[in-house]
Amino acid sequence: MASSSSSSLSRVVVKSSDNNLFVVNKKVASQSQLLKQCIDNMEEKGTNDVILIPLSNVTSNILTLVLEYCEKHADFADDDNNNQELKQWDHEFLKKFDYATLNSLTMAADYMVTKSLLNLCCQFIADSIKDLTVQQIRQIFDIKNDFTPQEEADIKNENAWAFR
Amino acid sequence: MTDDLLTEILVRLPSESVCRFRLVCKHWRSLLSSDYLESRFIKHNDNRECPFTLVFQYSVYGPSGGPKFLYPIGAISNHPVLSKSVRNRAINLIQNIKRDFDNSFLKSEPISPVASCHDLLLCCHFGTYYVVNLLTRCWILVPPPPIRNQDRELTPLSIFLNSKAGIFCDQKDVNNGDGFKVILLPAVREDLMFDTPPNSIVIPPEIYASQFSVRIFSSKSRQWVDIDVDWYPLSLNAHLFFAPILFHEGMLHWLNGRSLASLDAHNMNLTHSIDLPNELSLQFPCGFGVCQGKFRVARLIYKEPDGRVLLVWDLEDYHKGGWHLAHRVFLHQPSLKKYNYVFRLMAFHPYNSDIIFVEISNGVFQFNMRTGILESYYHLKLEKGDHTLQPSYPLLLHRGFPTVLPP
Repeated sequence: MASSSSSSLSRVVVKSSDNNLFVVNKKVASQSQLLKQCIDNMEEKGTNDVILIPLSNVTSNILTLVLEYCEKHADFADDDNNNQELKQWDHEFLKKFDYATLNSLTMAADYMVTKSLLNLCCQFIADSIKDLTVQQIRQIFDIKNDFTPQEEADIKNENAWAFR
Repeated sequence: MTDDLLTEILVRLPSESVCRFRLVCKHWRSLLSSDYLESRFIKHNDNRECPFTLVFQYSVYGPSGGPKFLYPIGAISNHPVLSKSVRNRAINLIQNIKRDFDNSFLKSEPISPVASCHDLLLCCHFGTYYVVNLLTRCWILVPPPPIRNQDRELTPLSIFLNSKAGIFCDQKDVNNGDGFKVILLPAVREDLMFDTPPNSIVIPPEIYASQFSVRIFSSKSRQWVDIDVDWYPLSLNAHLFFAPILFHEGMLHWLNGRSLASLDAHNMNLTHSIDLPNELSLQFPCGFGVCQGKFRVARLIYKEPDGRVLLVWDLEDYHKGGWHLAHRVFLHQPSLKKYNYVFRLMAFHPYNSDIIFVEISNGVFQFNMRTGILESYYHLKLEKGDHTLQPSYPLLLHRGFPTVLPP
């Protein structure tokens, strides 16, 4: 954390897995613990150069979304987390995406250690699948039913209350 | 997606989805049945508001004021599984589990709700107790306690009417394998049941029981044991029928005369007693429950020229015993005009301190004490006749997975 005033970075460059470059200001980047750690490390070393952080697991499509989220949340960083406007924005933000995108976004949030986005994605996915049937879950997650009819009957029986 | 991330999503599901999705595939089943998921799930839900169910029962007098007929136990719930397809209607819960209760004895005389602990409901049928999980529709019979010498003088009916039962568990979590326990407080002599008004006959204190024995049934040992409780300086004198025994934070609580008494459920010691607000007299029906983790009591008073007034107190400091008047609501307001400005107190909303459940002309409403608005209505579909609400409304909290009853 400690850094001398002479080696304070204002911006970093983040590289996506498909080799696109994104210039991100420090406050926005700090929403991701992974980027923040990189910045802190470089500042400790006293580097004045603009640093390049390669993210080998995140495509530019998804990185754009993560950065959009980080930018919005950086604006609210000093407010309390229960800000209604921000909550509304979060919901509208995720509403636009299909499951594939939500999955990628969740994985990117996990990889980039953006805890609030990770929580948000997990809760959003949970809320949107909770009322689905088992068949619909298999479709969305592309899962093959590997139970025998007997096993299926047993599970239904053990959890009968949940199938009402 | 990795299993770690999938788990992060799955712990955020409601318990019925967790159980249902065990059918997706073998991999999901093993994830959704693991101890890790269960502990994460419980932790995730620990400080969250959970679905709840209010249980009640109506009775009706037959033609020519004949014997009372008890309706089957009813309930209103915001649990997605229990309220499914019965939106804004009361659920006939015993009818739901009729298959199991189906014997002629029970059919002719429905059983009554008595008390609750988490999501378990204790029911009674003339001295026979049942513990029911309304969600899983499982139930077990509590064998009757052995008859003691001192009980021989009492008729079974008087034991039934005057003794009081509660349900609790040793630990915070009833699912840890210890199961549940049922407690029976002894019958209190009828002449001691009411607290004495000032300047009338004072009952000498030595008549009150300051040591008494409670009977406890453990679902683990399937045995009843009698435990003597040293009750000094308090006396067991007025656990009235309309205030239930509540199990809250490891202790059993009930309204005892002019105080709120707490019994440590683990070692059966009287740990605490707190004077009730002066205006709360147990001679009149009063509300007793927990709202936002604090004890709450309430009663309706009649005062000229205001008419009926609802008073609600919260116990702000359990240890020092400071009651705070949270609401003073005049019932003479537009929303209650067509009901003659009167309702009957049922239960407190466990999370929203502005909301109470009330009964008005055979329906259950949510009444907002701040705005004076009747917010939701649950239609009860009672037959014609003179209905009365029976005085016990246990509230079930469906936290985490449904409690498993021992086989």
